[in-house]
Amino acid sequence: MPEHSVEVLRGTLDLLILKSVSWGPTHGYAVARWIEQATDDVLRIEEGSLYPALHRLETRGWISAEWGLSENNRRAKYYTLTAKGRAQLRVETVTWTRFAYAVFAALEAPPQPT
Amino acid sequence: MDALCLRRVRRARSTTAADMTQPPAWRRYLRFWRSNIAEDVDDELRFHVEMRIDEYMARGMAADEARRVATARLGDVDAARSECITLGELRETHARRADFFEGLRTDVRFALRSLANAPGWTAVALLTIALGIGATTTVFSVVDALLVRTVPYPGASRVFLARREVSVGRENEFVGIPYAALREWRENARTIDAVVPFGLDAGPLGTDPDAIRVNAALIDTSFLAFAGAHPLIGRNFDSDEMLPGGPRAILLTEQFWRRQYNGSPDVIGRVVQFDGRPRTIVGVVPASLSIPDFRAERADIMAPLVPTPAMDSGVAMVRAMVRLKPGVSPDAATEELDTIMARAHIVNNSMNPMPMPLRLTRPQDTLKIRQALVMLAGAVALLLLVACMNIAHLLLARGAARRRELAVRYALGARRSRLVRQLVTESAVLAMIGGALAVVVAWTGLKVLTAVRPAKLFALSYVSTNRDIVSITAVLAIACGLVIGLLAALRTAHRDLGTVLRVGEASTPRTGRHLRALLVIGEVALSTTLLVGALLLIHAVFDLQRTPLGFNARDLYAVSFRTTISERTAFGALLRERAARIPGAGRATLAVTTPNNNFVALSAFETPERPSIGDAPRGNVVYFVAPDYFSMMGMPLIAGHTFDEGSLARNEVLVSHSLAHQLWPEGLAIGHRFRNAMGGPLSPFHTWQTVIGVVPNAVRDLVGDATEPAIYQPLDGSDARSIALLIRLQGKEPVESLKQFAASVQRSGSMPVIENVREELDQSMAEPRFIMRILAAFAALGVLLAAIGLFGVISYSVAQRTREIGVRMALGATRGSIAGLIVGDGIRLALIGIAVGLLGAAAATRLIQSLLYGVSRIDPFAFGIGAILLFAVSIAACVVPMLRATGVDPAIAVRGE
Repeated sequence: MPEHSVEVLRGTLDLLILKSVSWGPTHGYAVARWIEQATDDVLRIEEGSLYPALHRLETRGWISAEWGLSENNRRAKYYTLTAKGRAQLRVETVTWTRFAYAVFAALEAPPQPT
Repeated sequence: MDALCLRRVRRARSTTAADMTQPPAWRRYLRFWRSNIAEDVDDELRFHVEMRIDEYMARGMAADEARRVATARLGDVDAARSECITLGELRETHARRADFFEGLRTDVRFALRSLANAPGWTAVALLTIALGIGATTTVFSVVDALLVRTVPYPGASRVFLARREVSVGRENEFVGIPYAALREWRENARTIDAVVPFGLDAGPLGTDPDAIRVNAALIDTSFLAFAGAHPLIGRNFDSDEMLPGGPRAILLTEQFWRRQYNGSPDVIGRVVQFDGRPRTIVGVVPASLSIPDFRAERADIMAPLVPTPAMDSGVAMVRAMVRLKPGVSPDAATEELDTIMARAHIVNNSMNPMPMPLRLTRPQDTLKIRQALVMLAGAVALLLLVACMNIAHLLLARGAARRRELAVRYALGARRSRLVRQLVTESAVLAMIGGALAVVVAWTGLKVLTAVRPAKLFALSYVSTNRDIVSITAVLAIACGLVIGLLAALRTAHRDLGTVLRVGEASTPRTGRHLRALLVIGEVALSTTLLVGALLLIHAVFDLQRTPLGFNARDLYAVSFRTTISERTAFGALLRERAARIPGAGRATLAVTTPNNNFVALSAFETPERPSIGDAPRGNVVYFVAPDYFSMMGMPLIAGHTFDEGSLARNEVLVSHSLAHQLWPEGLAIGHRFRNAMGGPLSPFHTWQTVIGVVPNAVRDLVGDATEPAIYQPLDGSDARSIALLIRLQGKEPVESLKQFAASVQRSGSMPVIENVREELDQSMAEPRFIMRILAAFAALGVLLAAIGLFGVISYSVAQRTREIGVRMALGATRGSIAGLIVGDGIRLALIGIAVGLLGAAAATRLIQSLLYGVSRIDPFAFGIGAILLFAVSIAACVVPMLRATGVDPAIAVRGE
């Protein structure tokens, strides 16, 4: 387990969840695993907050939930991105990218002339 | 290791995606167990921990250690769990609500589809609802505007108009109160709180050529307080402005102020010409201030009611309103006021009190068509009832046809409540659409009524703006429709549906048959009554149109001008001279007013041979005319001759045949004298008048009668500030050429009015014609609804008796006898209904008697045509069900559906 994992910013978690369920029905554990792997374990999510976040997104209608059987025959709750969620994902991706570029740009900027 | 995990997850997605896109329907039912939410959350979290444990153990951790680390990573489980449960419950509520609306939508969609499947049935039902409810809304709006709405004064229930009744010809008219008596009332009457005089006037406002004709209410300083109103801006009149020589002031009404002065506050203090005199605008009164008994239109301005010498002497009357003290009955007040008025006469005039009974009337009760409107309201309420009955009928008839469908669905497991809900939804949908259509019907109805209203019923033009009445009635009507639907649905669904399926509908008991028969009889009776009423009025209006006028109204036009008394003679000469130049002009003559706009003088005549001793005064129509008036109007003198130069000085008059006969029943009137025994020196005909000629009776309007006593005086004897040119005019556009003529002679403040005499006379029967039109429309509606009702009940009976008819046919009954069987049923019901309706008409037409003008209430024309028409319609309504009955195939019917 890497030592310096970053606390996921609030709001960023929603975006990551939306992204992780965008390929098809996904259960909570797979969401957690995908975030770890996709970010090379840099982003370590607080698992206790993952599930309320999933339920919040479900309540908002961005993802829908369905019970199904997992690969090892356990009863698991699968989440799917809804049309509304897909639109939201698109918006937030753009916003986040712009935000990140802005921060980068600021950090790379030459020292302020005095 | 990580890569492997990812692959496994991806594979899991691909296998489950196919069978999970569509949620299984049974899942919805899991919602009934509320604990499900908490358990689901627990399951979800447990699954996560177990997967983690698997993951850690696969990496080589011990089972205990793996569980510990996995749980630790989850952090504050309880907080997460409770948040998830809260969110779950929120979603649950939403889902239930969505389910309800989804169910409703399904039902509505189903209802719409099943209504669309029976377009004929649906159209008839919608028509019934829309017409029934729309008609009710229309009439109640009218009744509300004309009868219910009281003057918006403080203590409105105690406000009465004080008037006196006097006979003019055969009719009774109301006249005002002597001004002197009002003063006495104000000081001495103990039964009233307040009394206010008021008057009505009209005249030009402004200076030429921009003068406009305005309606003025004449009021005194106490009027605003009486009406509970305050000036919007400015002030009320002060007492100086009420004095004959005082400063002249006017108030504007709000609507006139906004229309004419754009609501500018600068108008206060401005000086305008009214009636040829400069007046200062001192204030604006609110639009809500209404004045009862205003004949044609609302007041534009208010002017002070300045007492004239004639008013002081008791000759001129004013209108008056009183407010009774709380707890005082109108009868007690009438008695006290009458006594005081009689005493005031003796004190002021030392003459005979006028034996004209005082009447206190509610302002909203002054309409002649009041009773007719009350009758209409009653009729339309019944009509709505008929419409409701019809809808219930239609639903029942449909219920019979659909009983099988319902029975099958019931047998297949649909719950009874579900079926009822379905039926109620269906009738609700029907009622909603019908209600929406009804609003359109009502709106159109009001528009039409407003368009054809007689000028007198000015209040009607405000009806169509009163949208809340329309919406409230529509809501009530929809509720009405819902209740009917519910009743019919319960009736359909409460039957033993199992029995229907087992033995077929022919064997189900024929409950409600008598009720249905009664409903149909009621419908037919009601529409008969309405139809007879309408026919009576049609007969009356037809007769009125052919009233002999007593003069020739052919191509007769009148152009009236305002003028001054000193200028009148010269102006008259100018009019004659210029009138001769109008293209197509025939003969012309002059009078003070148009023939239908003359005033009535109250007098009790005596002759030297027969002195009057306290006779009741009667109304006498007074004409001031030029000498050639009679020959031009086509009124050949019965005896004597017309005026000459000296007639005015010698007090010579011509009288109508009716007055001559009244004063000298036994012989010739020429050369005899008469005078008015009532009133002081200012009263009309106070000096002896000599009769120099007798002319035929002529009418002032079509609803009065030609036997009204009339007196003709020389034109110059009048103190009225008006003159009218009467002219016969042919040609393409007589009104246009008269307009040009009027413009060529118009002078300051003359305000010319052009009218066709015949058309103006026709205006007098506007009220009976108005009621006739409404009643005719409702009668037509009633007949239509009755036909629908009859059709419904006979169709229902045919549907129920299909098997019986089949058996009869199998046993040799001919199609003719089957047709007779069915039509006979309908005719029996219709005949009873028509008989009851004719009896009802004989009683109910009392309410429209005042509008019949001589047509008998049991007019055989109206009763006969009404009965025949309804009978024919009833037979027509039976034709379609009869054809259905004769088309029954006995083989199929008997085999048992």
